[in-house]
Amino acid sequence: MTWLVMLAVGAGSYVFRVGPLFLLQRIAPSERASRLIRNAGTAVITALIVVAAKGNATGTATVPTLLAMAVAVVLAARGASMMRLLAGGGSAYVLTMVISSLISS
Amino acid sequence: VAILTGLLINARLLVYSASFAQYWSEQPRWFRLAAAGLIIDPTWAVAERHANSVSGLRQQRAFFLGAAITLGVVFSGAMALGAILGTRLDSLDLEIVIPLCLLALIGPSLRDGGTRVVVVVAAAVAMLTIHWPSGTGLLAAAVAGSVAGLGVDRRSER
Repeated sequence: MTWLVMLAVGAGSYVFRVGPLFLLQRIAPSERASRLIRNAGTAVITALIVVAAKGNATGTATVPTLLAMAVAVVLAARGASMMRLLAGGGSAYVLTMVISSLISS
Repeated sequence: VAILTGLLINARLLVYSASFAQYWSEQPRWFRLAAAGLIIDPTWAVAERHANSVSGLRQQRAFFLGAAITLGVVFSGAMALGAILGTRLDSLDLEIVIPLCLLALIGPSLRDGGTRVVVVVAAAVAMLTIHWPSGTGLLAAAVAGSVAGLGVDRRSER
């Protein structure tokens, strides 16, 4: 049964990806429609970020997660590379975790 | 229920694919069939950012396949490593890396004022819909974010 579910989801996922490539090939979208689609993609990734961050932000990890994300947003807006963003956000997270555990002990 | 949940989560791929459709309308059928299997979050973010700077059908194909195969191999390799190491990585508290990596994907577009509005609205809607059934919150955030972006475009056109 598990294999059946995996195959069905995999096939559906491929149809989602291949469908628009063939169905929309003859339609030349306006500049506004192109931007709408592009914005939808950015919005989806933003929602994934929020879901992932919220999942991590529980208990003692709440403040460190918020701070790490704040640092990372600033770095991202300044055009930092992924490695710098990971280093900056990760350092903020670890530092806040250490400080909060020192305070609580 | 499991199949429906899986499909809802994957519905975001429709958006990515629709975004590529406008650039790949002249690409051969074999490429679109093969490339469709390589469309994932990071490949969309990388290829979309460079879509206008890569000209020529052959160059477009080379850029996407190069990016997608590199990202795909590392993506699959990292997942395999995680599955092998399993619970031994739990103590490292690595979950924070996921949102940070995703943020790096959209980071460069944050310089654009219109995109910042899209991100803020999508984040707010994602927070409000976080307890909705799997995948539906993502779709709501996508719709809200793109409509907000459209609103910004209209205002700037006036």
